Amino acid sequence: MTTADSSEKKRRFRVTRRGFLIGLGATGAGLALGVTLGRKPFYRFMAGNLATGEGAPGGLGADPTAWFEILPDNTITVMVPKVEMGQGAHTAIGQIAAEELDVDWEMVNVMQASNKNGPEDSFGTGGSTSIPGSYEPARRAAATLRMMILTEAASKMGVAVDQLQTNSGNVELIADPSNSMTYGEVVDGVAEWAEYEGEISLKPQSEFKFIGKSIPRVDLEAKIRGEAVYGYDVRTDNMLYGAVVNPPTFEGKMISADTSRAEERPGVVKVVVDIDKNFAGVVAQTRQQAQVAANSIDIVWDEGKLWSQEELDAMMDTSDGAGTVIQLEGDATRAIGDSPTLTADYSTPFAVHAHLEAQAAMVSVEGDKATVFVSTQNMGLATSTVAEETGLDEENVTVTPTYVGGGFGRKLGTGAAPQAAILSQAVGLPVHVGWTRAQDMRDGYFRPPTRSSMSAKLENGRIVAVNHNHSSGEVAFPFFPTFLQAIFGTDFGSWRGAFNIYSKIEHRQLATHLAPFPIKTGWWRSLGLLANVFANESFMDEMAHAAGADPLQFRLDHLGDDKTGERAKAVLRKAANEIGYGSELPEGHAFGIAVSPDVDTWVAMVAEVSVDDAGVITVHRVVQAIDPGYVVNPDGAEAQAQGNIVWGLSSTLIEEMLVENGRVVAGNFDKYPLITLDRMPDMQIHFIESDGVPRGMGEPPIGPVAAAVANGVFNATGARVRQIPMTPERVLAAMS
Amino acid sequence: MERNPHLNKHQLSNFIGFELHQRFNNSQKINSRALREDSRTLSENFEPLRDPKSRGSKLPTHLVQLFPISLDLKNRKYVNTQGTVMKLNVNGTELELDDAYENGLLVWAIRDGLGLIGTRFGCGAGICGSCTVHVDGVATRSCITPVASVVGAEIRTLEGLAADNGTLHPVQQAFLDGQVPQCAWCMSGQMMQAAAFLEQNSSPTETEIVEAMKDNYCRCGCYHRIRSAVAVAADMIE
Repeated sequence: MTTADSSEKKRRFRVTRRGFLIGLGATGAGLALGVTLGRKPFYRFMAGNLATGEGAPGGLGADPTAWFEILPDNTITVMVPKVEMGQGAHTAIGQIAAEELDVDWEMVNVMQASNKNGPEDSFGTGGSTSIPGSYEPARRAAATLRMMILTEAASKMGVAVDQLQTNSGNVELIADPSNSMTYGEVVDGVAEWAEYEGEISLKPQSEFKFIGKSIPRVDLEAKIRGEAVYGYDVRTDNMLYGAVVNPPTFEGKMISADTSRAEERPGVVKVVVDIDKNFAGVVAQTRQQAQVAANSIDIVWDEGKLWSQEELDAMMDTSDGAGTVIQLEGDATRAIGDSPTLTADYSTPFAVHAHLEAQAAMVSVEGDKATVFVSTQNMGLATSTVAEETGLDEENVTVTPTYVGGGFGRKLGTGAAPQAAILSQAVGLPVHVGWTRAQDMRDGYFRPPTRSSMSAKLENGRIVAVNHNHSSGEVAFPFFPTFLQAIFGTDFGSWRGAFNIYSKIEHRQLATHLAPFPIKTGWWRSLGLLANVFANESFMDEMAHAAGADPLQFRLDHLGDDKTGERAKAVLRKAANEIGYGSELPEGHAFGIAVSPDVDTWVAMVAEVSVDDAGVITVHRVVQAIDPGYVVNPDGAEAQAQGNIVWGLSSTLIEEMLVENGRVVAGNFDKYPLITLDRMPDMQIHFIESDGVPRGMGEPPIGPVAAAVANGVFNATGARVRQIPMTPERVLAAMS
Repeated sequence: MERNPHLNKHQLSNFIGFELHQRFNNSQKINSRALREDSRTLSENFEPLRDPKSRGSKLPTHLVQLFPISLDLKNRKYVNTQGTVMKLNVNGTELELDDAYENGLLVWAIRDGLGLIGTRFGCGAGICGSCTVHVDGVATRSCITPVASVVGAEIRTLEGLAADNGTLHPVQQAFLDGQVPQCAWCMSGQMMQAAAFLEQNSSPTETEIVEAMKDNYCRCGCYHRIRSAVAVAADMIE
């Protein structure tokens, strides 16, 4: 039970946001969904943020009429603007939003918001921001709504607000709880709501009913019954299927296209070619008919330069020293001088996202309006690209994200939606476009490769100086206009996780170079984190061994004594204790350790590994200790950690995207295999909740994976592998 | 149309197109022009394996002779030689299939033709396992299985796994209780694979579970929970 204004401990906010009113339906059907028009695409939102100095990206609007719908039968719907791609956002954000509303969980429905209803979210779903970004806005929206309901109930019941309390979706008289109304009865028939101007207070964490609990995922039963609808599944009356021809090479440019063969294929409704847009596609009765016909369009291509892997590798060269210094403590260059104690170069390759649901969308263009259902992490970009391709106003493009069959950053870009829009506009009927695996593998953007050239000076068993010369392809820049690139200076995505965290090292320098790849690179789970921590934490181990020190103690000795340093030490000690670091292991097994921060979540990992005679690495056990500040849904957070470890191991051991003749070699999993169940270690995840503020969990646990395995391989074999994936060939080469 | 007797359960369960093609090619020579035409058309239907650099080199020619359908060369289309409506027995019901799907792959017939979206398309090459369904009880990759090869067979999709009254199959219940899926795109295939496996072996060891499930990809990395849930489901079945 919660009274209108009770606990002294509660935090107080004044609702300052103006103008959230008040999209009520003319039917008086209760508190209906707010309608928000004209969503800004991501980069405009970022630009606005930079200009005004407003809050961090990932934050959401706190307008209660956009977040909630309450119907007269007392069903309560939370509109979640973040998409559900398996990370549990619908459940966790639902928990957060329902917390301050004083309702029972069984009364709460969670629904995906579109670009036309629900809270404003121009950021998209990514960057491990969904939970930290909604933690406060959603609770404030709910608390505000509760006060609006209390105020309205007071009016309907003819009493003062302070004589009322809420209780599980009811408003009741404090003096006589049997005298009560449901929220649904309170909102029923109310045609207009005034903006609530009073104070609201938020519960202390000790009183949370939903947040902090492992509430089962709201989306799982539909998924387990096969009823959940993803972008690839969207169906409607009179729909047709589209297929597109993507350029055969990175620089492929269409010169001419003969559509006569394609037009004769069975089932073909229309062949659409736009040479200027480099677009060729087919609409047909079935998907296979469309694909076969698309393959029958006789296109003459200018293939452009046929880039080779070697040419791309050469672009990573940092020897000209022309990087941008982004971390500078002391003077590492002078401290190391011409006599480094240690140098090492680390490298990581291109990688693809390989989500199992390929890019897919259904678009219906009718007159000046478009309706879009798409598997996307970014409805803002889907809106603007569909508007651009069709010439429609963004206000007339309605985008509803579906369930997403794996996003991992790739679905922050646009894929099938603008293509389906072009085709739908051409035939005047709804068209579904679902990419083939080969298109999904080859025609997206990729995780860029990285190189890290490290050098260090050690004296008396301690590190005096570390210099890190870093090189990577673009990650964030392709998604921003040029003027913002100039403001940012360097690509924050490429150097994510590259900062040296050991504050007791006097001289530290990090310089970053951007390699000018002719192929698209971009968001990939954790951006540069996995690669950069691989370099940093492998080198930390190399320095520990050079100093003759234990790698765990060596790290503890160089971490600072401030709050950040203590959080790092705590996760290191926890992971080490839980796995029994230092205990005796079977012959040939060894521990490897690594630690990293990301979005202010600290993660330490210890892996027990061995290597067989063929150079095959086996990871037997993994323990991670994670400090995300506060955990909203422990089971969901654990699942994210497990998934990150599996992702990290797949990259560490297997994944490498290669380029040949201007195109990606692999068109399917035969040439780009993923890790499988038979290579899974035992895993334990431990959480440390250090300060009650939730931070991201979607990416941070991937940080230490490659480094911990590499360090374990060294401890087991004496061989230092400085390149991922650590294939048997590379391991054997390092061993010999 | 009769179901082709040449495709037995063993073949279906190991149905990787080009492997079977290799076996077939080793045993027979194909010379007739009609068969080559057949192969080419079919290969276009197997679009994900169509790599411009290896055009024609990985054709599942074996399928052509096994199908009880024939090719109408003029219209470049397979025709039902008996002139009847093709029906598929899916989840215990005879469903009529639009003839546009007759010469295609089972995954599209199920998903787009019959609207049973619970069967997911992943790779189109029989590798990832997202599209796994049961054909006469055997876990089968529907993305490389021609519709014509399963006419008359009992096909079961994820929608047919739960009981008619909605009670979840033990595998589904264990996956729900264990909060196994993340994005869940692969999970239909995972559960179908597990259900078929547990039909054969309801008290498996952990090694047997790993062996049975290791060819199904999960990109989100739910492998631990999959392994545990299959073991739990086995206990529920016993």
